[in-house]
Amino acid sequence: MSAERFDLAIIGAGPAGMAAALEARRHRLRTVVLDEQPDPGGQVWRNVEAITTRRPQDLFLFGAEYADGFPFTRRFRGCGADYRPGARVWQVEVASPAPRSPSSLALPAGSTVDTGPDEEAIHVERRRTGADRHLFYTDARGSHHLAARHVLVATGAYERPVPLPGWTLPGVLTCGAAQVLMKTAAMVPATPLVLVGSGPLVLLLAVQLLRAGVRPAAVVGTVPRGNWVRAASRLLPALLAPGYLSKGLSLLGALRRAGVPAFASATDLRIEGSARAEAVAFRSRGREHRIAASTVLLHQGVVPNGSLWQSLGLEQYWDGAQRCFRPVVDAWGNTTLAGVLVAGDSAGIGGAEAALCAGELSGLSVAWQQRRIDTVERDRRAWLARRALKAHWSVRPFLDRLYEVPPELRVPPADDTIVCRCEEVTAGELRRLALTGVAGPNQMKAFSRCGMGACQGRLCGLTVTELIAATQHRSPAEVGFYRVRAPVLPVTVGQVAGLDWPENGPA
Amino acid sequence: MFRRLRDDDPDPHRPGVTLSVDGEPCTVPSGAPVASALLLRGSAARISGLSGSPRAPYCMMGVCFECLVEIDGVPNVQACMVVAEDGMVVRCQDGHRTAAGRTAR
Repeated sequence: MSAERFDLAIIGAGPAGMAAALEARRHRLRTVVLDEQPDPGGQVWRNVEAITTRRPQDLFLFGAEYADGFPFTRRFRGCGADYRPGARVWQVEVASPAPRSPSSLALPAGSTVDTGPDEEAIHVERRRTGADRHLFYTDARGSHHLAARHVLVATGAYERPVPLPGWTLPGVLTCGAAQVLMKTAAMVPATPLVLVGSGPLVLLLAVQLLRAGVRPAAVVGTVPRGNWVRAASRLLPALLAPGYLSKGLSLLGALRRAGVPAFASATDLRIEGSARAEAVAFRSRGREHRIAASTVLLHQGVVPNGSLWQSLGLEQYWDGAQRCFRPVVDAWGNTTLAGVLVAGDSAGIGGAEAALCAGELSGLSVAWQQRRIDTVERDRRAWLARRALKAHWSVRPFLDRLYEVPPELRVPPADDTIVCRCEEVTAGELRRLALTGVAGPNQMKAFSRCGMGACQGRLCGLTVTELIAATQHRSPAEVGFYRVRAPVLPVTVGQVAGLDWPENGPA
Repeated sequence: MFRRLRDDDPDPHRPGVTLSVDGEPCTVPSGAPVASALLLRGSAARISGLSGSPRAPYCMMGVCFECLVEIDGVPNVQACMVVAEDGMVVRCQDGHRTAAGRTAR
């Protein structure tokens, strides 16, 4: 039995993945799209098809930008890509495992990339045939394997972990989680409800909840005052970005008009409760507050969902403004590993609109690399997407600085705060080990079991990096991240044994 | 922790699905993830095998693994990544598992 073969395999059917598929199909690339959700749209357009067609009365809750997702998912479904929902990719394997030397790359010094790296930083070969990349995934029917000449990782983002005292209590969820429940289950948080954190999603969710008739007892903002000062210097380019700031202001206005109590620059945050969340306590403007809450929704922005590309060992760098690791990519999404591209938020947080552009550019680059289009046509088609991408990215330096995660949520000051939810490792234990001189996150994992649980370090990885860096007075770039290895999701021995793998191994 | 947005079915053409959570029936809208039933019920989804502390869904998008439950006899399934179906039998995982397959604290 031989493996299914494709020109392009896309992982993720969010904005980046769908846009890449549409572009690839325009140039008749044989394209497969694997996505872990039951319907296309990613998290931003989660369940948009069902809500538009079967719950139209709920569309108003989510706003016009959410409704815009529906025509897009329709086009995606009709584009001729082999779309496989409910497929969770746990391993990508490349024929030549040695990545290209990072020394040949123009690595951004200081590691703050606002508009994407140089177009020619990564040398890309053009050939009609090339080595296959192998993908392994599991769906409801079992585990499968397929081969593709190019792989595009478009796995989006997830919410930054918010390690504060009490964050493991039942009733504490992320703002994104509440939105998923509104979209997929027509459910809303029980009151009393408190939103804690910062970022555009806090405002958006608060307004969406008000539309649904749910009134938060408070919105507790965590933006340190110093962030405003640093963000102000990036305000001018942000004004040129299409609509972001006016959108933010109108959400703020809606919140004010509704009279929801708002607190600013909150510190010393903790969630109290024994068997479940009962209250949020914090300090704001020099005063202690304690607000009763049975549901607490946290948010500190989103970070790239990078497990898959990290497992490939390709070059990455620390983005000091976004406070996360990002893959080194050229202006088309090509990585340091031949045949592997990353597009959208998985390569750095730019938002859904930017992800649409990035996906389109990656699709074009793959069509060009496989000689379906020449350089002139590629560049002609790329022009508009590139210009739009630049406009969407121009708001990021402002947003990144304004919503930079406050110090106490980067490195929890209280020793008994749980950092690793799975293995229940506390900040105190990690700090003690960091002071004994552990070399980095991998040694920390071996000594403490931090990051060894079911989530595979997704909810502690960045905290561990930041904590080691702060304790040992090193930079996060130098400390690095866990060595992420496949399988990037827990799979059973039976699922591996049941693979429809060709008899003589990978081709 | 969570409640229905409104009392009637969100989609009149597709009635909700009823699953069993620790022996109790629970009805959620068609298309909703199993984890939504856990949140509707309002109790812990699992008891940590390490400290015995209660845990419940946190991220709802397959990242945090806090909603691991037993679904139709299969243990350690992410409840937020499975669409609820009529007649599904969901059991919360209480403490760590023993070799005999039973749960113990």
